[in-house]
Amino acid sequence: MIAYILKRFYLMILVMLIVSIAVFSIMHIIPGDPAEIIAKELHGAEVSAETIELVRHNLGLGKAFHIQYLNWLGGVFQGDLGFSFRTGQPVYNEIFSRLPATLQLAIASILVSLIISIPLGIFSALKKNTIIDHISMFAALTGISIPNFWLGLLLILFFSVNLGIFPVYGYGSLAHIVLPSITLGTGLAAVTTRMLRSNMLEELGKDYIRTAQGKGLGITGIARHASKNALIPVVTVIGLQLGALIEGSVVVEVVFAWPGIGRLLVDSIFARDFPVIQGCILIIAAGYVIINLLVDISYAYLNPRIHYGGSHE
Amino acid sequence: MHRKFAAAAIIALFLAMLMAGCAGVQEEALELPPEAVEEDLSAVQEKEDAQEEGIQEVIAGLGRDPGVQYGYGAHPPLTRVLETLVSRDTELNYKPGLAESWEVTDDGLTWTLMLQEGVTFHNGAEFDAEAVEHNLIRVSESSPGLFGEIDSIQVLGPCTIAINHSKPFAPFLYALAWPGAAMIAPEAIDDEGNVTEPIGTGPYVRTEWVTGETMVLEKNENYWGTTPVLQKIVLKNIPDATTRMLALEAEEIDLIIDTGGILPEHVAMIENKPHINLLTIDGAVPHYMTLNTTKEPLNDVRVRQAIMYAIDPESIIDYALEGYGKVMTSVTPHSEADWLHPDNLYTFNNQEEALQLLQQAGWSDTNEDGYLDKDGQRFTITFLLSTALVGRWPYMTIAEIIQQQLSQLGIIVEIKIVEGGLWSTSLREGEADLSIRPWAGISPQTRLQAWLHSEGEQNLAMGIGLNNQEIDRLIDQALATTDESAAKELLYEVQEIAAQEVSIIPIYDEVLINAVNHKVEGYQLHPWFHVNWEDISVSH
Repeated sequence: MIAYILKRFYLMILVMLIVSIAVFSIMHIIPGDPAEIIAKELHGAEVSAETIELVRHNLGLGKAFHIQYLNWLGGVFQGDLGFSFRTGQPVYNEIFSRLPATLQLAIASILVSLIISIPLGIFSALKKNTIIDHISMFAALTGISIPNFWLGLLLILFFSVNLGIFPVYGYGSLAHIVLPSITLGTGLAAVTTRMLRSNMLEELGKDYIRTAQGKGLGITGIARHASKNALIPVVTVIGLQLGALIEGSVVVEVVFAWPGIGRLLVDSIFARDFPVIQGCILIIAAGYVIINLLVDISYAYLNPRIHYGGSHE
Repeated sequence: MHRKFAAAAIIALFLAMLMAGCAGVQEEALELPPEAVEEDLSAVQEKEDAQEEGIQEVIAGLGRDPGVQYGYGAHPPLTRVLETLVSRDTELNYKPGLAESWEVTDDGLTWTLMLQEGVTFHNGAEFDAEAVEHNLIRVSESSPGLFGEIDSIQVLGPCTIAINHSKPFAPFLYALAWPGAAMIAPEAIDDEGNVTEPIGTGPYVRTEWVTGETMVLEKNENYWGTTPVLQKIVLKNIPDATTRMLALEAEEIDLIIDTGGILPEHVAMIENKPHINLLTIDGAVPHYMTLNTTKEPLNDVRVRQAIMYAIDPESIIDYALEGYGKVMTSVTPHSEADWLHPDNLYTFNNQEEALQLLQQAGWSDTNEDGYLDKDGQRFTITFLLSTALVGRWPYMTIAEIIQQQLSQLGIIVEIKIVEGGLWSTSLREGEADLSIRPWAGISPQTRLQAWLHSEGEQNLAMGIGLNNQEIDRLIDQALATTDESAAKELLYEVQEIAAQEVSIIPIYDEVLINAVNHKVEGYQLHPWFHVNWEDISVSH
């Protein structure tokens, strides 16, 4: 087990290195002169060629690509992600001051999705092909299809403007997180519900369930046995949904003016704020890789039948 | 079973640790910049309590961070933290700002500014002629040519300063009124001329700024002018235009300010709400379509004229802007009425004339496929848009209307939207045929210089490449003359030639739209979207 984790850890570092090179390259390969954009951000639309050159020089944008990369990577290892072109603040601060907001939103959304999907998935499998099943699958399909920004605005219109229960936008209290997490959570729930339903159906068809049925176990007992096994793959799905969460949070954070890294990323892309874009993507990729590692480890724990590589642990 | 719960608990624990870890980091970070978070948790509640107690406080929403532009950490006219020497009233007439009065010698070379006395910066330092000198040097270094060719600056006394030009520069006062020329305490300017903190002289002090999110302004008790009423102003960057509107409707914010604050399509949402007052004013923000005069097919002046004839700005204003725009008659916008040529210089919406001109230029539909062609080439041009601008103005719809209007002549327009940086690079290199952008500008003279002079900043940056010796000569002459009526005559002539050259087509003059809660009193919308915070109060 430890050997496995170590192996995964080395792989993780390799993946992160490749990600860092990719991230750094993309920003330099795409056309457009960063020095000009930054000069305009800093000094308004009327900038002279001299100012542009000065900016290029000060920010080291004129140096060779590999030198720029190595400088940057060296900094990254020392926890220095550079300074934001836009605000002059350290990128590290820019990102880590917003990360908690995004994580809170992510966790709340996963909770919302689990609260919806676990009962719905199990129930619709038990009541397969009944009207309840059809309705919940229709709801799941709708959940996948509704765009986040639209659902978000509808929720604001109904709960904030008409009923006045939750705030329209912003961050801070528990009330603020409700609407954004429902917006994100319903989309996730849709996927999980469908997945859980099909897992449940598979488990329900297995011998041990039939034996249990034969022994006269009631529907609740059967549901309990089957759901234990059916829930295992859901853990993987939640890990994989991190990608969807980040993608969704970019939109939801804009709609609800939520101060997370999704919005930071969007703002930075528009402003061509390279250091922040690089930092954001690096952090998001790291989060992705770490969560996947955790999922794999927890998987081994959840299902002792699964073995990884080598024969001894 | 237990193993599974244990595993779930482990995952939850990991997530919690991750969060806690970040929270820890964030607390460390707190010491450096004013940090995000916790701020608006109960900002709305606090404000409501405050208003009940009669404390004057408002929350305003806008679609951008009011600290980023100009690199000052506070947008001068939107925050009123920083002030300029000269300011402009809502009719855009000059009025004294930090300079109480000014005079210029007959040869137009020396400007003498008499400064307001007894003004201090927010840090207590005195605002005097030396601070002005420091700022004028700072701004002219970052924006060369903004103040003309300055020969020397003389401090004549604590409150008197003279600026000597090597040749006359008529738009000097306009340049002083430009927000980028705001006066900042010399202590807040580093050796490279960057502003480290917005320490100004204005009626409000920036007490907190979370980049991209919130800015808090508090009343400057020692303000030299009218004492402001509002104690505290919270500016919230709410990027989504619809959310902004809903926040105003739910009374979570009291005002929506700034250009692009309210999109024309959203006006219907609040028009009939009794608790919201809609404000509009003819803005000083014209929008220009640019034509690339350096390559086929738009290098032929007849083709450019044909495109002008084919376009119908009125239908653009009706459909894309819901009527919130004004048809322009010249490159000079309505807001510069004194300098605007009295005649209707641009002729729009005349398809017959357009077809005739195209035929003269050799374009006709020889193979009868519905599109114009010449030497076996179809008439195809690209219309390049920037993502950054499309988010604030309905440029996509406008481009589609123009595409449709030109297709009636048999011209194929391909619309491309690219990210802002790529947009400026592609245009500068002359890769696109058409584009569109807003341009508030600094003065009527420099507007024509920037857009029409062969070395004009916009003429080059937008890849227009107009090179008309006559225009160059007239503009150079107008910029150097001290006689305003002579300058106007010269610039009238420039406007006439420009309408023949059609290197740019003025599409519309923007009508600014803002809205306030009915409790907010005294807000007067300004064509340059300046906010008169010191006149605003809240009724209870």
